[in-house]
Amino acid sequence: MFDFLQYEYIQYALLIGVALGVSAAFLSPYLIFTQQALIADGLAHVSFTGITIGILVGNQPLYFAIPFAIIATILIKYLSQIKNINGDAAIGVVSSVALAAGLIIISQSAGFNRSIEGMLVGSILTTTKTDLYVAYIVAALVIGFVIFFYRPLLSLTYDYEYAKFSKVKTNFLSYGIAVLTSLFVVIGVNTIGTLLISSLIIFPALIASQFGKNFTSILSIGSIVSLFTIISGIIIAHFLGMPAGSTIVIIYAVLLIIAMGSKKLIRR
Amino acid sequence: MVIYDNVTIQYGKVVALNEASFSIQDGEFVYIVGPNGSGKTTLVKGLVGLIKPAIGTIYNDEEFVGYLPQKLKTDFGFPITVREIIYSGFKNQGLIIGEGATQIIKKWLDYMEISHVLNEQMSVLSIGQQQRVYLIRALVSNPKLVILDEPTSALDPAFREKFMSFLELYHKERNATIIYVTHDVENLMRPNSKIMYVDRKIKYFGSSSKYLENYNGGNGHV
Repeated sequence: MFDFLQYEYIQYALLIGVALGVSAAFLSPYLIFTQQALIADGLAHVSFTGITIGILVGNQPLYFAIPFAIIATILIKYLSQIKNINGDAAIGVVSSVALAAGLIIISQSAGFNRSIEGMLVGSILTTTKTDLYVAYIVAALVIGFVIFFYRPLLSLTYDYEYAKFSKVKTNFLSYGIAVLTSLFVVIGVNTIGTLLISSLIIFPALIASQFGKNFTSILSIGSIVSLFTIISGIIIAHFLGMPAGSTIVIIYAVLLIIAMGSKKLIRR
Repeated sequence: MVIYDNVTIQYGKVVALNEASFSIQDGEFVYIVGPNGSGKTTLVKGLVGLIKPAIGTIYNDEEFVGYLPQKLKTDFGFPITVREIIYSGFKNQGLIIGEGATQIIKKWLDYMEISHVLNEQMSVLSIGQQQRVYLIRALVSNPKLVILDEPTSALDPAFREKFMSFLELYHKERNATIIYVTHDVENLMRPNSKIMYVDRKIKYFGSSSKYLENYNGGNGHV
């Protein structure tokens, strides 16, 4: 029954799934409850271009895509905080310009040898060792950051103005979460795909908040839900020959419906 | 001590507070009054460092301030409990809320007559209960400077009286400086307090008794 686990590509897929799942669950509430759910979507478009240029420049697209996504994240934050552009509009401006640039670069490059469709839907089964190392470094950074700054991050997420009054380092923390999100998204685009990576950020906190009363429970329930969904998604996708990213999103959606339904039943 | 030295605060080109100068000594109880949109909250936000003045200097020598904002955060469904909200008012906060801190929080909740809400999610509380929780957050670390922006707006009259008596006691026992923004000056006024009447400028700052002698029913100032 567990014969499939002997394949290295499945082992890698499951391992990167665990790293992505926990990272996403730890980032999720800080983005969902500050109405920044779509930042992951925007950064995915940016990462698409970063990876495209990375492929053209050398063998390790992540090395180019990561700084590219970080710069874009800082630009989005700068536009929305310093220049008073609405947050969604800032994400839209930066991500659409980056995506447009990426598509132009691809159209003008004779040597681009990777399928665009493959980049849009991702391929978790082609995870490399480098992807794994980077994913675990990112997961460690995300978990460490969230635990170390738990109280100030909670304060910032709940009430930005009061956090500022309390001398919470609001800029450092919000840029920190944004940069970690961009790192997560770059890894995710490579594996889950540009189109679906934001779902990994959106669903954990949404599902967990149907049951959790506080942030600790949102983080723990979100992590369990995330791990269950990603691991079962990869396995189901493998056996049914479906794209892993899409399978994961459908499982998330089913879990959200069940969670919302059971919350209603519990209330009765 | 708090000093406003020729402070002008602007939102874009709109002047919210013009050339305000005053000083509040340690241990004073000061009411800030004035019509809607007169700049009271702006003045208070300047004091707690949330707004930077366009001109002038704001000085406050108290490092730890208890502050109740006018607009209370009431996000429906936000996963935060009453205990966590109050804990965010502690001077020193750890990752885990210890038993000692929980006991302090419980005592305050008892006093505020909402002991049953300790582990409730904040958003399921009534507005009045939420205001009591935010009042506890402002006072739980025994700050020497307390700034309350319309602290009793959602409290029922009986509890409002109780809270005012408590605040007076807090003021006396700790020699704390209290800055209190209100519309309800006639009913809440305490003896030996001062009043600042704000209407884009500081139009009056002095003893409450003198203010009340000339008070014209809440619509104006001396």
